[in-house]
Amino acid sequence: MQRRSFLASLGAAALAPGLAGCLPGFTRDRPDDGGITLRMTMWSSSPEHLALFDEIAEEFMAENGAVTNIEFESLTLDQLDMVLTTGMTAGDAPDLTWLPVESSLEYIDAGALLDARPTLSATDGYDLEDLAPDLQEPWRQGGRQYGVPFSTGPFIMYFNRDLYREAGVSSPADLIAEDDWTWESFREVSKQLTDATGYPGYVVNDFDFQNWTRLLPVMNAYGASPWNEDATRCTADSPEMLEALGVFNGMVFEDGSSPVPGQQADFWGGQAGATTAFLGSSSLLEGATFDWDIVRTPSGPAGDVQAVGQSAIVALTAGEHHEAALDFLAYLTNRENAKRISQFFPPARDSLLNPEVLAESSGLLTAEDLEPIVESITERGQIFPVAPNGASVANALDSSLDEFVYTPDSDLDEALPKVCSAIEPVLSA
Amino acid sequence: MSTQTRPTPTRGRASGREKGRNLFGYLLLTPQMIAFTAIGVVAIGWVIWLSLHHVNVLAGTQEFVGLDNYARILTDPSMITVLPNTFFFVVVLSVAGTVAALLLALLLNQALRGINIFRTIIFIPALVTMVAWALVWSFIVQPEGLLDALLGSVGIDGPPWLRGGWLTLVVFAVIQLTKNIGINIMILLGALQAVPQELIEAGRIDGAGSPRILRSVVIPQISPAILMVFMLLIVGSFKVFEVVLLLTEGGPGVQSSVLSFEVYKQGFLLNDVGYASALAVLLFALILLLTTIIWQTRKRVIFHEGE
Repeated sequence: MQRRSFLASLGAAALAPGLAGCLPGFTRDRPDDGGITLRMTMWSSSPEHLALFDEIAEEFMAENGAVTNIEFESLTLDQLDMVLTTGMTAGDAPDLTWLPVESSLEYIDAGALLDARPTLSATDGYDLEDLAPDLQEPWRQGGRQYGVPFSTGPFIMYFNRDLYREAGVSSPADLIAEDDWTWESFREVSKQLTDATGYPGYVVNDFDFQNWTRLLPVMNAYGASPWNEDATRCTADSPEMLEALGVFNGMVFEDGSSPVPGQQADFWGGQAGATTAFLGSSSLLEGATFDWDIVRTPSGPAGDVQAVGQSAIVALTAGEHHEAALDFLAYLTNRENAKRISQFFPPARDSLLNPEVLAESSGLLTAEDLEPIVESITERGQIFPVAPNGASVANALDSSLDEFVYTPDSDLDEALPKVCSAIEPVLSA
Repeated sequence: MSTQTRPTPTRGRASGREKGRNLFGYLLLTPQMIAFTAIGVVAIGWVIWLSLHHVNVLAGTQEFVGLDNYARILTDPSMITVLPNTFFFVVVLSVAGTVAALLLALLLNQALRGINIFRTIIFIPALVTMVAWALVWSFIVQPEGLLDALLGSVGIDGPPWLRGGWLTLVVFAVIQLTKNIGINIMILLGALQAVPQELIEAGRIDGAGSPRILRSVVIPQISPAILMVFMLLIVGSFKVFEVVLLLTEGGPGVQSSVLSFEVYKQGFLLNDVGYASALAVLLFALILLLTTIIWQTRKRVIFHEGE
């Protein structure tokens, strides 16, 4: 009897914290007005971005009485997967999120995303046909639409005109004028700039030798991709990849014109000749103390192919309020709001994808600056390659490139097959 | 050695007063037991259960796979590097950490003017978070960082400290060791100051020199504290994590990775919760096994424990 009561009290004690978690005092602090609260994660903490999304959310709630609160949760892109999967495991997933195109297939295949097409079609004035079909491909499957891209931006090259002037070498703009805008010639001037100024000629933005997608500008120019079109076979050991990574490794380890792993150099602070980064990064140049310019990324044997990154707003199956989440998704991405969001992110709507609209909303760049950028999205753009189990493949690729390729004494002929050995099992899993 | 005699416990049936005292003791233990049951036991049980499943978090599915996740550990090529790295830290941090803490504690136990300043300085790293400590070190060991600059001033080209191999592991060991050594020194210093002076004086009268007194009087007296420091270091060395995450993310490849970081990577970055759980169970079993072995051998090495 004593033992039983002891066990009973132990059980009660064990249950107590769990039960306590269900008490109102332990829940998230939400207004208790019986309305729906939607939660959305995004990898921006920019006050301007948040203010715009808050403004749109307020307008949506004014029109949609059922939703009384919309919370935006800011995080960094590398935290996104962890936050989403932890939330899903704990039964506390957000209703909507920004999602990069690299993750699209993995989330769609797992059934983690809601089909937005019925809601988009039924929303008055949404104009589904205006969504540029080529740019929707990663999010469409079997007539369903699993997300709406809100940002479709190419990598562009930013360069420090002052440093090029100081070094007395041809700048990227000069090379374009001379019709010699290739990775080879860029490598040459970068080395000259480094020799003359001591600053790195080229820094890959947001890279740290841990994010292979940041090398897509050089890979695309050489027609290289880590895997084939249907992501079933590794092509990281192709002659094209050998050439592309040969140029990059040469800049890092032979010329010394790009930082070695672990070395820090900040283009935005004026400490490098050039960088490749998304269009949205132009805001980092606000108040820059040096003269700068933008150009498309250099071409190569495969021609002038621009790497285009993309992110969409998606509604999660694990979210609590499917209907309201889809309604808000449709509202956020309708033509009017897509135009407002385009002041920060290049849109994927035909009617908005022109230099004038982008320039109108961007304080820093002119229509003239943006003309070649828009052209590169619509005509020569190539959206990032996507693999079914994106997180594992990216990890295996980054990890093996770091181990075998990004080293001073690496022989790419031997290193690249090792990269394939590392990612092949994950690709075919 | 204490000269006080302990009261002999009364054998036989406990008195009512003792019962009441025991009940009060259990009551005091209850909050701790509740928390331990809710957080510790339930979590461990859940992790073991997850380790027997293939979990697809995105799809919200769990499939029972028996011991497959454990079998995968044996065939995972990264384990060839990760497990030796983990044991490297266990051996180096526990042995070097204990020896270094003991030597420094002996030094800091001297009755010198201003010794408290040194005691404070050596304890400072223990007061900052591991994240801050790792970030400070990242400025020191990054390419063209402080260490390279110092070596450069005497004409030496610094090696790539964080690009894998034994060098990176040694750098991590130094970072980890210097971070926590202050606490261990304080534990040992406390034990050293509790060594009865009359024992040391008796040794001197018997003609023993300082090394002999250290070996035959001081070390046996503080051996329980040494064992505690050693066990704390063993458990801590299995959990080296922040420094790996912040400085190399286990790279290049998995050259600087350890078991605790692989648990995080598999579970939170690659969404492979089942495999991560199997690795976590392995980590738990290894810590449990080693601490049990050390605890069982204490009777042989610790003064008075065998009595």
